[in-house]
Amino acid sequence: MSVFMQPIYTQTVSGSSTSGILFNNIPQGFADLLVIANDRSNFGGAYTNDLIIYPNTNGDTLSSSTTIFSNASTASSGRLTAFTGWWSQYGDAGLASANTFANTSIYIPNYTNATFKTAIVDSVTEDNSASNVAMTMNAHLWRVTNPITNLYMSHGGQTFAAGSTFTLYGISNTYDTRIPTAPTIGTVTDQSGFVSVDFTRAANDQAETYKVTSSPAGSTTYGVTNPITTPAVLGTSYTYQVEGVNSFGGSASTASSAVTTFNNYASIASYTFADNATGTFTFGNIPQNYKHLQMRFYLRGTASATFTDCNATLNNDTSNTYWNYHQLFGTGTNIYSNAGGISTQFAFATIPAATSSSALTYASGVVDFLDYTYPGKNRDFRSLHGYNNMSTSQGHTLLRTGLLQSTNPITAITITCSNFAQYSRVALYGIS
Amino acid sequence: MSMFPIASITTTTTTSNIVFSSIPQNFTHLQARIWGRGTFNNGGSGLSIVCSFTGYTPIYRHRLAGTGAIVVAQNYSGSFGSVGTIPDVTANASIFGSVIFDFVNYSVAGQNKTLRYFGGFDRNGSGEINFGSSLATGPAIATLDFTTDGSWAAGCRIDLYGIGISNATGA
Repeated sequence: MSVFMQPIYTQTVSGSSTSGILFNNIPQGFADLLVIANDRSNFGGAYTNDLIIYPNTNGDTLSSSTTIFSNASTASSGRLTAFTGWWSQYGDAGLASANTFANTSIYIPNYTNATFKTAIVDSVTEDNSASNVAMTMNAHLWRVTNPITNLYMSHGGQTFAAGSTFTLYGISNTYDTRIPTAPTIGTVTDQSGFVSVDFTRAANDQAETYKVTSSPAGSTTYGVTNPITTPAVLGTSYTYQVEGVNSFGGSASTASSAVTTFNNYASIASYTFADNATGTFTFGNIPQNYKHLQMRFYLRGTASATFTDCNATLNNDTSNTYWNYHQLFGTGTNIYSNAGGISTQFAFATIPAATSSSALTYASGVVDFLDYTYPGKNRDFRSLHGYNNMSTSQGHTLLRTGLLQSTNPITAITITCSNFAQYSRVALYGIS
Repeated sequence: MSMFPIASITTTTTTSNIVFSSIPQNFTHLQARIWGRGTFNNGGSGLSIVCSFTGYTPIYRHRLAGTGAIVVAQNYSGSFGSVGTIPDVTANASIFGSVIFDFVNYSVAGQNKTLRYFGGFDRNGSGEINFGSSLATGPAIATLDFTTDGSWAAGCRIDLYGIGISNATGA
């Protein structure tokens, strides 16, 4: 479609119950309008039900027309005054042979101008016969100065035949509409190596496609529907612009807010204890752009005991109350369910220690911190962990929870023990 | 079909001539969309629009017209343009006529120029609807000068478009 004329709306009739076609919210930025109708009514008579166009769905009698009509045998000219709309054409099932639709062009110039509204119409209804046809040309007037904002079309109160189509076009008369109007940038969303760029196209922007570019420069992605997904380098902060483009050029939106992409399940940091003399480690500066955190550990303590608790504090918070734990505890022979109590930390794990029956046994486990940045929620954890010590009296499996009565986002996790055994390891992951 | 706006002129006062000059020669056809009325009193009948261009010789105008009462087929010699397509000064000041002029192969020097037009006006009780043609000899059309009986009223608008063709034959 050239820039001179572009389609605004199209409606195709399905079924047999449609009695009217309404084009609403007609854009006001064109010079003229054009309706192309290919329609047929379900009425079984002939020459009785016409396509009527009602500007602004008017119910008045301020329309009039001057007409030439021919049925291929005779020609006549007629006039309608004090009419309720713009009379256009015949096209009844009783007139046209099966599967034959009327062909009509309705040209409406200066539809936003503060003068009376006019239209010129040419229309034909063919038939598989020598003379049973209808050819009409009309000059129409509607003595109203309001801009036309909607058009309603009906067929003399009858229903339209399925397959009837109506397209409304906008006609421009200036060059400056050739370059698209810039879209409005929307939300940009991290999709783990990709970014979804949301935008809103300007009304009647004449863009044929949309181009997404990033800053810093990366890949350029084209698309025609919103949103457009574009690849991004993990861990890099980008802003994006969307440009409406056609063969004459383009107009870009303003820049989006910044977005950084991360993996769906990404390693944030990990730490391995190098000796037997370290009792604490802190994951600090935890990124805030994930949905959840997960800590995976492989730990053993150096305390002179068969097992020892491993504790955690969040955000170095010592002012708010922790609930130490609730747990379901299986030893291999017994099951316990009990709780800790008010504390200054939680005990997220119980791990083998110096006098455990196996010297090289470590506890392994997973700790989940869900919705760790969400405001209005206290911070808690869920830990599933355990170890086996080649003994029926040592080793256990635990499902454990704990709570910190603070709604602050988690920015740091500190784990402590008497000391961690060499090669103990802990890793933190972000989950999108 | 590619169709591009070349220029648009709207009269702000009574204007005798609406002129498009330096018309690009790289289109195949021209189309003018006219929304107008004239200042001449023609007793309520429609007014003619005359197009002149440098070096032309107007030959004929023909039309098939409906007046709301009768159908007429007429010819007029000596002008290039349309007949009866816009209202005269006696029409309500808010009534304008609409007409589309097609100038086919406007830049081919060796062909006579044929104009096809369709348009008219209704003034609630009178009016005309026209389908017509006109012939002139002359060179390529590089300037178009539109006049009507009397002058153009304020608020008239003529949009000129260029129409291209495809290089593909489809054969």
